[in-house]
Amino acid sequence: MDSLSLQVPSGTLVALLGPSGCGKTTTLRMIAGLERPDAGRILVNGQDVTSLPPHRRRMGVVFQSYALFPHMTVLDNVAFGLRMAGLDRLGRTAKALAGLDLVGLREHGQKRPAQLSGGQQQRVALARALAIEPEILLLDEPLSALDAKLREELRVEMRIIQRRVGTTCVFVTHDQAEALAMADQVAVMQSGRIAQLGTPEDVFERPATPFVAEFVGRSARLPGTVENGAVRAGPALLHAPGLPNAGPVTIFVRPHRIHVLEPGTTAENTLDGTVAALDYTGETVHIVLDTPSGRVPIDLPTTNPVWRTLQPGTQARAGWSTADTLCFPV
Amino acid sequence: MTRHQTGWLLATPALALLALGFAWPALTLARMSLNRTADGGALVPDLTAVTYTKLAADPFTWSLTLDSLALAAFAATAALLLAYPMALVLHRTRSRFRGLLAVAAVAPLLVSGTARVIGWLAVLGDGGLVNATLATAHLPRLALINNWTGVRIGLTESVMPYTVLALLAGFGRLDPRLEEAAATLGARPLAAFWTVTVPLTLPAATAAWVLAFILGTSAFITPKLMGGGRVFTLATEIYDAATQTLDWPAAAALSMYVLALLALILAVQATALRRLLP
Repeated sequence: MDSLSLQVPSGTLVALLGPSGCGKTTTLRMIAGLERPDAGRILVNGQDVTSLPPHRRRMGVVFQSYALFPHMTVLDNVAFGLRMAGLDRLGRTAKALAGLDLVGLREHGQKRPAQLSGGQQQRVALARALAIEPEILLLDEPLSALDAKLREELRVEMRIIQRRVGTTCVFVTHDQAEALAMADQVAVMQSGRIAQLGTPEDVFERPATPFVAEFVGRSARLPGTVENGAVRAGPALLHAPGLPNAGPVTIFVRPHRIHVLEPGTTAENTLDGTVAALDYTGETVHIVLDTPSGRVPIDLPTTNPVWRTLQPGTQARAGWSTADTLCFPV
Repeated sequence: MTRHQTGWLLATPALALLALGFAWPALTLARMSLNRTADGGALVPDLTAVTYTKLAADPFTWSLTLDSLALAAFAATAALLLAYPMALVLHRTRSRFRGLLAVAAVAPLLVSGTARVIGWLAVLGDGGLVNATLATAHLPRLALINNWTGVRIGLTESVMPYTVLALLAGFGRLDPRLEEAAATLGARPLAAFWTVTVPLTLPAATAAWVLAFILGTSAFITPKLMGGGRVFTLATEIYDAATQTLDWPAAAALSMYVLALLALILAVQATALRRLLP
């Protein structure tokens, strides 16, 4: 971990997004008190909790493996925190049942965690963490063990639950789609530092560094050099806002910002190339165009009929506007 | 060949060894126990349960049984209490000396039982380490050898490495995240230990206890050498009957009795564990 400073406004959901080994889980464990920072402080509502052990911090943690107690029923799992807080059996059963209601698992209270599906276990872990009415809810890759379809369903459901409960949330993920879909604020982490903190739209549309541009979403990535207020990339001359005066740069363009130009039309930036691949995915067609300046991915909505004129090997011209061009000095 | 058949084929060497090293001697013993000893001490080939009825009628057999089981239970319990924290530390440590520590914990197994007993004599004997220290402090001398106390200490130490190994094997699935989860839910370290660690390690602990208990019941060297001839257990009695009084049917019958006793204990443990953990 390097120096890291992060402020999470009360009631919001912040995602720590980064590749594995970037320190996002360590950050989460430090907030929970499971790991001690070498230096620095952790404040909750203005109070310094850096020296508090985890059992005195009231942080709800949903572990990647869920860490449900295998020897207890689902209900006892959810009631565990309340039992530790000294609540009597009647009180904690009522509260735990309400918690199970929240995640839609009331009828499964008497089962063991091993008898539930992965998605159900995940929701039990969420109910258990929320039952202690935590100061902050910490989620470590909570959806990574689930299959894609269930992941998307639970993503929506967790967001609804978080809004309803109003708990401040810090959420660790390496899945950029998950971070963008769920978070109010996304902190993109790179080797123990925050590379960019902003709204999902900020980090996607206005990445602060090449790392963020590359890690969040896909891009056409074209190397070039600045020449007379434009970028020479191979044989092509491309335009981008905020160019440096000279020197090598890398250009990033999002695939959905790029069009396939029909004969007779043009754009501020254009590249000619050969279609290398064409993948139909239902809503969009992913096209890969090999150009002398580099490989350009293009996402076309299938509602745009132009894709029917293309097939691997055909010539095409890609075009996009100056405003959609990101340029970083190398 | 089906998977099932392959399994049996792979088990054949082990089964053959078991047949040769256990089943055959056990059958020989069973047969021997049905012979009888004449009044003069001569072995009379026969097919009678008279040796068994004689043993059952002898109150000494019952006091031997009680003493042996109590000794084994003491050693197993003491070894478990000592080994549990040790195994927990070994299981959790991320120290690079972990391998070395684990070897150290089971190192007593590398020394022969007899050598270990001699070591204990040097520590517990009348002029041994403990009593010499007590004497320097002008405290009364303790009788730690040639009695039940000595045997209890020695037996505890001799079964402990096995309990450490059994515990470590059983701790394999103890996920450290579970204790962390308990902590984040407000459990103090001791509460987390009792509500999470202990229940989850209970199967390992009972397995370790039963293993130590069985080893303790059949232990011979420690009671024989550290008891100084004043401690009688089923194992020492079998030895005496076989080598001193040369009453082979009695030694064989006692052996069969111990075998049955241990099988019963194992069966009870297995059912109890199944009841406890559905």
